[in-house]
Amino acid sequence: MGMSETDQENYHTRETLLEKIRNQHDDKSWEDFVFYYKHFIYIICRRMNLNHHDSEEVVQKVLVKVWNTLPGFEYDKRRRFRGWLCQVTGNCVKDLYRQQKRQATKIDKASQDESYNPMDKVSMPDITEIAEKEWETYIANMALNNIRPKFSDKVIEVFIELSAGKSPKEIGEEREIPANTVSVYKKRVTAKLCEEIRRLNIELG
Amino acid sequence: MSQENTESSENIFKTINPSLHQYFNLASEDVSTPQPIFDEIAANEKRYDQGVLINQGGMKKILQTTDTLTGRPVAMATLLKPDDPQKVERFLREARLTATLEHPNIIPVYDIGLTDSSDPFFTMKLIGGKSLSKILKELGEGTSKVSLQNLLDIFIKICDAISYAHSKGILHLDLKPSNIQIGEYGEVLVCDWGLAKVTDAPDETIDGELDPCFYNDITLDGIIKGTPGFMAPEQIDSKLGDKTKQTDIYALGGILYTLLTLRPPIKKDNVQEVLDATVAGEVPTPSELSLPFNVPLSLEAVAMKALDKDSSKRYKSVILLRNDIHKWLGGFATSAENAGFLKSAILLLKRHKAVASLLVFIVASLILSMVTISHKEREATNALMLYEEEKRQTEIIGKEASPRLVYMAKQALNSFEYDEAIQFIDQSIDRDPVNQVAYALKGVIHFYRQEFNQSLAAFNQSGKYKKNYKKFVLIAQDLSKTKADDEMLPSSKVIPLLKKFNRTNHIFKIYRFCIANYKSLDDHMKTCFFMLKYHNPQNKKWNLNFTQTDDAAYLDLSKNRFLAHTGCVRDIPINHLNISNTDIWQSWMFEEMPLIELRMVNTKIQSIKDILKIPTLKRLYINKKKWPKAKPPKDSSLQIIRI
Repeated sequence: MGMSETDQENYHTRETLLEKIRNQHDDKSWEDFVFYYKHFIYIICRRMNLNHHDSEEVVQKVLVKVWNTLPGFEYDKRRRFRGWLCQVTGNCVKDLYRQQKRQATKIDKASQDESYNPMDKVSMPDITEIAEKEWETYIANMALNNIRPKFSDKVIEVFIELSAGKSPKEIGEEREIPANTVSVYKKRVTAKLCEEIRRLNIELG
Repeated sequence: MSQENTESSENIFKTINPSLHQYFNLASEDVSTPQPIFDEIAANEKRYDQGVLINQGGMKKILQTTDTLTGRPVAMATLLKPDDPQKVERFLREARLTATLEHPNIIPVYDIGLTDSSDPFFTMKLIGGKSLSKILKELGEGTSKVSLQNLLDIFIKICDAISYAHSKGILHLDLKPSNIQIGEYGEVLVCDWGLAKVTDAPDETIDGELDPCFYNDITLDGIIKGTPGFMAPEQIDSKLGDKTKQTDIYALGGILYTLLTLRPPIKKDNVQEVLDATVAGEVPTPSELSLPFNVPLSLEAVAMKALDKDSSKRYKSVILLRNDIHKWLGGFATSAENAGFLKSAILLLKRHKAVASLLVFIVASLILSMVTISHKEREATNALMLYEEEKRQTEIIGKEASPRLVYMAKQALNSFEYDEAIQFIDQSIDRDPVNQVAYALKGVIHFYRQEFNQSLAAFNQSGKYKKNYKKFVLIAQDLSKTKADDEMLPSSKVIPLLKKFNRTNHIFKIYRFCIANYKSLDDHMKTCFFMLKYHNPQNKKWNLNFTQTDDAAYLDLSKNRFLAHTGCVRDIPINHLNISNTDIWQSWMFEEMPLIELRMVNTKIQSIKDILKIPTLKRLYINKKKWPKAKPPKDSSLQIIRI
């Protein structure tokens, strides 16, 4: 499989948070890990069409598994941690599905509802791919949240509208600000946002 | 497990904004890692990119690709039919052989290897520019201009490369213009060593048969891949002899021939005829071709010698061939010099347009000289018949070197090397005893040297150029009566002589010779003062003092408010010099003097760094304000007096 640019860049940094957990296995680094990854695992589950409760359950299962496995996790430069995490998540979702299917069979043979089969819709490679894109979106969103205090609400609102595809002219007319100012807002926020994305990406790997 | 994270996952999932994803890519675009190159090399899986076809021959194709490890564009050679084990081996052999040749004029091989599908390849320097054959083609079509001198410079580099290869025991055996690549910056590279042979290795070809390589080249596909006509007879019929260095020399002769005539040595309708003519040695001399341009006879002789049917009559080594070309280049009259003569003849005609009788006379003399020239041409053509004789060839080269030696004499004169100038000009006349330009310059040089008798004698042989030097001739006639050639004119006679000239060039040439040869410091100084005044007309009031004791010479140039140019005082052995209160701004002319004392208060000189290094200097007077920190060099007894 070809390596994307980001993959290569991540090679040298992505041990940071993971390494902390591996080496120290302490509460502080674990808290950090959970803080950043809990929502991410949840998002993956929801993308695989799990409902809220099932997703929460899978998140807990995955986190337990990670906690137990990480200290011995053989860090391989050729393998991505998130790839492994997705695999674990995927397996948990599968288990959950089988379990639910067995129960459903016991209770009512007729109620085999094929529509609720997350693994039918997505294969493992797809999960990895979805997860990667999801991770990037997640990081970008987290970065915007982090830099929010540095700008006025108006600037951030304008920026989000621009990101959604609105033209500076349109926004300018609606908000009665010159289109140039809109562009300046965009530049400032983009610069800070990219900087924060890079920081997070390096920290979390 | 920590629940510090107050926001719920569900909430985050619902509010996540997918349109922000674009910024993640944006951020990663300009991210710089601390080790970008290391990372890139570590991640490298495929060294060479796909590549674009840039050339295709009979056996292999050349692709332009990028070496992703070194990051440079390279040329990659691959086989057209990589299934034939024999071809594969030969291909790899070529690569190995070329790789052993490390020479600035031989294409460097960077890497040899096998592709994923085990096909052999090798990579080389990627050269932009054109092949020599393309350059010659464009030259023939008139779409580009390259001087013969430039072409010969290229040829010399080809010779260098082959000479080197021969020293390693390797023969190229496929030299031709299309195998010479000329880079964008003039680099000359001999390529395609596919037929190269190690001389010590046993001959792989079967006696009496056509070399299979050539056989393939010529008859496969029915297209001529090489250019027969550059092949030596012994390459076509091995009964004629082994392939030796002389085989490459034949091809070099073919290249030289093509450079001179813009066509191959043998041009026939079909390959068989070319091969037959080659074996029969039927190469027409360039003069037989009635080309629309001139081919220098001596170069023609060089090419024909290299192209001799009989390999034993060719040059013994590439170096000898190269040296002959080099000799010729050394004696090459620059196109500027030739144009100068023609131009002055036209100007002469224009000047005298009104005077009909004179015009008639000039036309008549021009016709006469043309007749003489064509007579000489015939002579030269006859001489060419004997070109096999090495001696004669040297003579032809010698004659063509004559204008070049005139040029070198001029150069020597311009750097005031009077003796060298005489040597060069005498050599020039030696080579070509009727070179009138040389005689004219000889007259001038002797004039500067105050050898007026010899000067007159030379001017008398300069024919039509003599009238350009009327002033010289008149003065020489006058002065030759009063002194022998080995005597120096005293300053009292040199100053009136200098006054007769307006051009600084002549004045300086005469003056510098005086300074270099005067025995008396008094004569020195008198002419020097004249020169100072001549060079500094802006200084109206002069205050010049020169005194001499038994062991020291004192020169006072001070208080000449507008005195600036003092180049003429160099070479005069002054010990005590005062240049205070002048406009003098250069100090180099003083640095060579045996100065003991130098007063330089209130001058325009900016740096005394080099003055401090004058080894004889004991006392230096300078401005206190201008150089408050100047220190004498270590271990020097120099005393700096600040005023």
